[in-house]
Amino acid sequence: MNVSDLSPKELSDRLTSGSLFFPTGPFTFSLRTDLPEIIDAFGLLYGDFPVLEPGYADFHTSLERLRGVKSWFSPQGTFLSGGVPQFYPFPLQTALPHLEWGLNRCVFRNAHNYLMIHAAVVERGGRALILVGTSGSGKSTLCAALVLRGWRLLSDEIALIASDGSLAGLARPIGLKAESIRIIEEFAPHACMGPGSRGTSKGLIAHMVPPKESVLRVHERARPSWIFFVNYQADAPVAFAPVSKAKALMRIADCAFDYTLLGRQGFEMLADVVESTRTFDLVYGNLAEAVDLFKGPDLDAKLGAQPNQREQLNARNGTSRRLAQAREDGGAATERVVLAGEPGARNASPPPAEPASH
Amino acid sequence: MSLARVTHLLPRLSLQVTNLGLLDHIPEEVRPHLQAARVLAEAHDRELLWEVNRLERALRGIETPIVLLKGAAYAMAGFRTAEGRLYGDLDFLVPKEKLGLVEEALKKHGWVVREESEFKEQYTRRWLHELPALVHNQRHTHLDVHHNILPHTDHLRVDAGKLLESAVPLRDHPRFSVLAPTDMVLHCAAHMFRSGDFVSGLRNLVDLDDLLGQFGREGSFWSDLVGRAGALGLRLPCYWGLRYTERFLETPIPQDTKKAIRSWKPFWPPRFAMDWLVERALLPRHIDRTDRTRDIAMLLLARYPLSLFRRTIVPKLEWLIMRSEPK
Repeated sequence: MNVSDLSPKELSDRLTSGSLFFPTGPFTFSLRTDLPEIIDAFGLLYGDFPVLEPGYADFHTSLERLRGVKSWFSPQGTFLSGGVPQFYPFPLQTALPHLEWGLNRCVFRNAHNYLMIHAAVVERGGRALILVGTSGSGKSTLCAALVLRGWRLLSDEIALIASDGSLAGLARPIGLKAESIRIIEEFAPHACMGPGSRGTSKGLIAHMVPPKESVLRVHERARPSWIFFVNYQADAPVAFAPVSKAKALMRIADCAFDYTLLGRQGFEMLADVVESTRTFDLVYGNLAEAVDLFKGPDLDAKLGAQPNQREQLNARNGTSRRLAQAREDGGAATERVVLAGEPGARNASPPPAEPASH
Repeated sequence: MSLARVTHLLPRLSLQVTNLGLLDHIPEEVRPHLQAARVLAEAHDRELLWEVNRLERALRGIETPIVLLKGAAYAMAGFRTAEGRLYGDLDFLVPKEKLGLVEEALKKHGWVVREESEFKEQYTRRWLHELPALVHNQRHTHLDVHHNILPHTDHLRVDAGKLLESAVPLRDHPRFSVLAPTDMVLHCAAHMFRSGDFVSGLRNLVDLDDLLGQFGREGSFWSDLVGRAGALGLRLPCYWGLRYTERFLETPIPQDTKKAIRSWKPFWPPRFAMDWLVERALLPRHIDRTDRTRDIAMLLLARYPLSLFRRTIVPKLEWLIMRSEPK
């Protein structure tokens, strides 16, 4: 039975009583919420997700309206996992993005049996394309567009690398920011979007419903095959250039969630991934052009057919300078990626008590 | 499992299950979480060792005893309670008169004070038992430099000199020492029942249980503990600590000791209130929604020893007066 098979009343009852259990890839979540707009949005965004019988869940989550003086002036919400708040209170109108960030956070704060990278992953023919990029790099936009053109979605935020080197999927909704929402709607008018939320730290955010096929096939693992460091630059022609393995490794380590936690094992896993993939920088200014690059059955031939990318890039006016610039920007923005994509996220402990603690 | 996670005890649970050879009996869905928790604990151990190493380097050449506290102490002394323990900050104690030197040295080595507001920073310096948290500018790790184990706002006064005097140097790291066994137990109890940190209440109680289990076997520990609690003025937290480890973790406590501390027992109303609060604050009763009773219990436990007046109003008034004075 899927979420969409439940009548609105059933869905609402389950969510309100905390008996809605659903899997996303390797993890089972339970969700409790009585916010009507979240119940509706959940039914839309997670329509194709199976509903499990209440029982075991990896993460018990809830989205609640906060009571308190502040709520009289502007309603506040909180997202809990295991009964513990995961963010500072947020304006209730941003509850939906916080639900998505919260579910992601459950995964990347805990699932250290995977090496996790802040990246989007799509798959075709068993081979995965990993899109690495910071916030605003156009990674999610490109991911959404590829998914609309037949690539299978694994994840738009977290690349889950298992100890055998395969990639596990989550197939959850893809978060898009204001500009991207417009671009995707232009690119594919049939794309199914969830409600937008204003007033987040990243402005307007809406989520694209993951394609049914991606949700159904979420348990199929994929082999990492290509890594692209994505950079959106307005009006730039599509250009790509190989990145050396060593550089790629360092850059990915920078945007991994638990690379340092995994220590030596993390390094070895990441080295294996980089070793078995082809790594490129990608700059694009026009989404359709970028998607064209990934069209057709033989991406490898396309990437290899242009033997000396660097020279070509130099020939193209200013592209390499843009790449260099992009790289620098990327480097600076990565910082502590633990909290990337997570406004107001906090460390393991709940709200700091008053100054008297410790 | 969710309970273990929110009480920060999952890594410990994971290690114990593994050590007891029970991993095969754990449901398949839960095993990956135990594995992940072990990864986390190993990383914390690694990080702590490195942080202590960096601290040693930063404070080289400064003549001061450095007494590691809490998690760092358990780990560096190789205590059982350090197995699978997660660490937040690195806490240590130095004599109050050396604070300036230590702070200066740490700042030279990349630690910076990061407090939300000037008031909060001044509040910490003036009223608490530590410097404002020092955060390393690259590693983002926290150092808590203490000069006492209880805040100045607390009406119990502990003579930090006595603690420093009887601290025990570490064999493998002579630069550092840890508190004497009795003091360590008392600090753990005082920290738990007087500094308002009940978020990891159960973890602290487990620490206390481990320490008592370990030291309790040594000859005169129990009688020393009773004497020391009196000497340091920590009878009440000591009483609560022993009462609740026995009640919730079945820590064996000798009859003599129980008899000796019986006279410390508070009058019944506060005692009943405390029992009620601690029981509710130790564990959340729901894992998929806010446990409001627990929140309130934790809040009360955080506030109860420090009267509202001392904690907030006096510092705030003083701050306002100080600010309004022309410089």
